[in-house]
Amino acid sequence: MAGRVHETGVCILGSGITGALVAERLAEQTTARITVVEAGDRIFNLDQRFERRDRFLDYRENPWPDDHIRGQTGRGLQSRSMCVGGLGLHWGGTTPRFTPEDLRLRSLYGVGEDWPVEWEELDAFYQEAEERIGIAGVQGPPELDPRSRDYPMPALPLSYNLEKLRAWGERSGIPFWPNPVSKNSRPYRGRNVCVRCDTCTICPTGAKYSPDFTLQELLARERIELLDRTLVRRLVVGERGRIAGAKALDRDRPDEPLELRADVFVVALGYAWSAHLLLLSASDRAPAGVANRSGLVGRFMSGHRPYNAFVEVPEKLYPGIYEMDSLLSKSFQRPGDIDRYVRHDLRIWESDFGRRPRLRSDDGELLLGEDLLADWRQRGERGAARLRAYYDVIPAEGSGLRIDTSRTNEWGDPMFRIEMQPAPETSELIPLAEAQIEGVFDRMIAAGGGRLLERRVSREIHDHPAGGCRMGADPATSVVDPYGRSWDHENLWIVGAPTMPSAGCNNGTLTFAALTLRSAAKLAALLPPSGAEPAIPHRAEVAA
Amino acid sequence: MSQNVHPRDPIRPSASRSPTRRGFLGAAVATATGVGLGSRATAGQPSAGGDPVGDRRRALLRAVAGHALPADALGEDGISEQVAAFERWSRGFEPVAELDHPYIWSDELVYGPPDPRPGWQAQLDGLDLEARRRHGAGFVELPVGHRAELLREHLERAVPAGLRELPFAAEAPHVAIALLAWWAGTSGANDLCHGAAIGRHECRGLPSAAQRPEPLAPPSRADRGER
Repeated sequence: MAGRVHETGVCILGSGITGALVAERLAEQTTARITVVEAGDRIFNLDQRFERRDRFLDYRENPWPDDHIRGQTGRGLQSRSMCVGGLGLHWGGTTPRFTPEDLRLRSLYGVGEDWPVEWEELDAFYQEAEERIGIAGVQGPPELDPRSRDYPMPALPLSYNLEKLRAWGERSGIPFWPNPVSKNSRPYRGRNVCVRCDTCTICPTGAKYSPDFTLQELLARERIELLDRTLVRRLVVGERGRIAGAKALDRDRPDEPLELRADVFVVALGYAWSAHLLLLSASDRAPAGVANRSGLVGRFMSGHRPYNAFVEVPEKLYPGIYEMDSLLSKSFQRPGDIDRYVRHDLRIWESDFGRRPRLRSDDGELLLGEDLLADWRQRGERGAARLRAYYDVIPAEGSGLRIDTSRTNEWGDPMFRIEMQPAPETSELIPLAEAQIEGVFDRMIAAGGGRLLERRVSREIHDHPAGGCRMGADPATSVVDPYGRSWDHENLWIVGAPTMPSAGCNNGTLTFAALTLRSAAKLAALLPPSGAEPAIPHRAEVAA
Repeated sequence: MSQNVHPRDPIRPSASRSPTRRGFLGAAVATATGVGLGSRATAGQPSAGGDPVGDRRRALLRAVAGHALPADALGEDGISEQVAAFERWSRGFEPVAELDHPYIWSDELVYGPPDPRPGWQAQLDGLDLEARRRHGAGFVELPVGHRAELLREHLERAVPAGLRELPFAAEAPHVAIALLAWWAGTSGANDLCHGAAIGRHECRGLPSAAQRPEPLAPPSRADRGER
């Protein structure tokens, strides 16, 4: 059957936060024709989000009911979100930067790999990402929270509960400051100010950044084409190692083959689906998969492990003032000289742990009516906090994704299985990391008062996963060059989370975004320039 | 709204979920019509004598609520309002709905329970039937002490000993627990517990976040259904 061909200049695969930022950057800086391809649906529904929020609150229903594709999943996948905007629709909007140590793990601590990026260069791309996305924050102590410029928006005001908890936490001598977030503290780039609905998984006002806003803006300006419901199944390697095209499937016309042709392909599919596509694209010209002469596609994946503690504090708190907001400290991300490699972040939230209404008393009596209310009130006289540390887990080479032929999607494509493995050099440090975190929690309780209610360490969880196509300076030990360009295919770029050699020890999305913009800047320099002023100038270039 | 809202703001005037206890108690007054737990086709309308089964179950649920919910704190009218709101909630329930998949670690989708309402209706009927067989009068007509005792016996049988936390209302093992769990999850219940207008499920603006929530006004005699 004769198929259709879509030809473009730059074909961006994936419409999550990294795809949207590449598209925006290239659209401003170049005249290239840009196509964004997304397997999932287009959910441009700002006018329906209050209703979705209500049903989410009332019935726990998915507030994004069309955000996935049936059967398109893998074992160990972080999230089923697959739609225009990607996981960026669901995300909580937490956007701390990494610290300079994350880029120099081998040099400073003898673990993992150094990143082929200088902090000063990354700082400028962090800033650009913060300005494009719209981040509200305030710098912490400069020695703990280095940055060269202010946030584009002031921090959200701390809630009554968090002010109390900051005072409580800082009695330990550990400084805390507002966690930076992609939620507007003032109207920003055409979006609303946050009105504290506290359901950031679906922000009904659009005050939380999500990539659909960027893509809608680019569509309105006719600066991109968006092929949604279009699943890319294989990349095709052509002459001289160039990516000649992509075999795709229009989910509305699945029997009609669709070929995408472009001068440049940008894979912006996140940590899992990027490696999955490259491995599925194995052919005579790329027997181990596209971009995989090193054999490292799908390898060196990692995330950070969460260690939570729930603590009763000697304060009356009011659960529900702003549960999504939190405090941050980077004291243990910048540990200075240490004998063994242990680094972690530290956050504090208000919590209703142990303060929720319950059905039975401690002695098992059924609680109804006034008895339930009295029990609830009694337990609520003192507040509770959630403390959480993410500690860094350096990946083993074998940590990551493999094609799983036992499971296919409805079009017959094999799916995958992800298994995370810490590197031997860090496995032995895990008890040390957890003991240190317990010590920090104990220190806070001893200084601030209160008591530990429960600790929860989740060794099977690796949050904010990254890697699978790591960047480096050596083609033998990396999948892409320091800017995300494939060593094997000159017109193939991989951006964001997959390129990271390690996943750090705090939320990764802002770092995914900053690295993506760095890739986009490099790619843009190879494309016809627009000559137009960008909406968000890159400060390092401006300074130059 | 005190916030500086962008002109494109889609915030709807009706977005608020009553932020105060008074509002919470009063929200359903206008629509407290007694809607039963029946299907969308038959529930929701006062029967005017045409739906004796619905009326009887509605009265049963109201009587159950008097023991399951904190009657002193809510007052007579408050209890009735909560029952009406619970009935509205149950009517809006969609069986086996796709549930929220968390932001992280959700490689498989999760679906909610089937329709619990037929089971709840049967439980109300069973409660009434047992009252008649034991005491010669329907559950609604029993003295308060007998009602409380019978309901507790039913719940001790229906609720597993290992169930210590309130479940999601639609998964509750008994209609009385469903009602209680639903109520306890409301903003109003959280406010009532803490004696403050927290407005947990409201969109409340940023500046007020920094303030200690205002104390709830004590319920008036009218709130409490007193004359």
